[in-house]
Amino acid sequence: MANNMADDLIGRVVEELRRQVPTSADFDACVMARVQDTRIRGEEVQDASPARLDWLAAAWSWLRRPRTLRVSPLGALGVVAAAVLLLVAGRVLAGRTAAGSRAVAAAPAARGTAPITTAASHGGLEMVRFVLLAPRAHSVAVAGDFNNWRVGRTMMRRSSAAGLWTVDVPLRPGRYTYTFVVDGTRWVPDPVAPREIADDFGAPSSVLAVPAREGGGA
Amino acid sequence: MRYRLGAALLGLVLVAAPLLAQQEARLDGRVDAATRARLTVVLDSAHAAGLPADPLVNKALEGASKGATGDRIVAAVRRLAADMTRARTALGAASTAELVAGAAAIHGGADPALLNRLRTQRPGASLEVALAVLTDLMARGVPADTATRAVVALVGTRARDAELVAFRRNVEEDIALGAPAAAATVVRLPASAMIVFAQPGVIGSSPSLHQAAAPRRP
Repeated sequence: MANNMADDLIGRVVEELRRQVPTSADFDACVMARVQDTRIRGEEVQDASPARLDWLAAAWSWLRRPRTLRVSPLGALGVVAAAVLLLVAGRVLAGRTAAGSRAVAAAPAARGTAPITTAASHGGLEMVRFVLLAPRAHSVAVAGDFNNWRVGRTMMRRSSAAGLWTVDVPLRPGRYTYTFVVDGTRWVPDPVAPREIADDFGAPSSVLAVPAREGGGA
Repeated sequence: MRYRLGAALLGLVLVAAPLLAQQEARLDGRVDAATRARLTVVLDSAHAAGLPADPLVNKALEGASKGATGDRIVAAVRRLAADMTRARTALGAASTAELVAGAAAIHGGADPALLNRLRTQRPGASLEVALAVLTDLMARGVPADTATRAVVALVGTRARDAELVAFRRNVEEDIALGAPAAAATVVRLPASAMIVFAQPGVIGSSPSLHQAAAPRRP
């Protein structure tokens, strides 16, 4: 019973599917017009790239083609003068930039009032120059590990009217702490040298590291 | 074998004892008798612990020259001996200059574990310059942790002593021009060292790169 009902349903579905669907009279014409339109657009897209390539090829060809350039002597002189002018201006600008860099780099050392410590080789020892600018001082000494911290042992000489005090001390490579002593009583650390981290006595000391020469023993 | 060891120790004592006496003699006439007696105890203890007497005597002489009281001189010498002991623990076998610079770094807040790392990075080679650069940076105001991590990073990338000195000079120049000390230190690190410096957990665990590089508010 159930099988008969199913067969009947299937038969009706098949019949419905086989039935012709009515279309309008211009259906075929409409479809063909759409197909034609799509084909034309595709050709346009495909044609775009070759056109651009043609333009580039033409430009390249124009650039490569040799030409005769006619320039009067006056015009040539003008071109050369302009080139020289550009070159000189460039060098002047570069010089100004370099001068600015040097000024910045030299700024820390340009603090003229600060003492300077320099080292120069001297027969196994390193000659260290201590410098202090103290215009109002009557005497300046340097005391440190290298002279048992004796205040009067290493006196500095006034080497300029501006109040520049200097002394050269031969030292072995190593680490030393020191302080300047102005007028026998005032302890002044070296303003440009690193301070010793531990200030045990309320008067900071400076640290000097005398490096060993390359290839030499410390 | 036992006799040889005993003879070596006896020889060491015979050589070292006069050296200690020589160092202590530098205190003659520089401190009062009571201070001298207390200093002798400290120096003998330091000598027994294998510490060099020279930096301790220098510290005492510095205090005497600067007019410090006996108590203050003894306290400073004790403090230095303690710092040198910690430095030696961190550095292992070390020269006098290394011990003094290490002691200064530890006194300034450097982590002894990072000093130990320096030693493992340069086994058998001198750390004198590296430690001097470290203490100089700290003396210029670079936070102890930033300075230590920077030097450890540089040594870890096999920077030579000359490069360490150049690094310190550059940082000092930047600070002199007004840059915050920590930022100048980080900025001046070469790229290879910066990678090591910035890697969390590679060197310690404290301040991050951003913290170190952040400019301080005036």
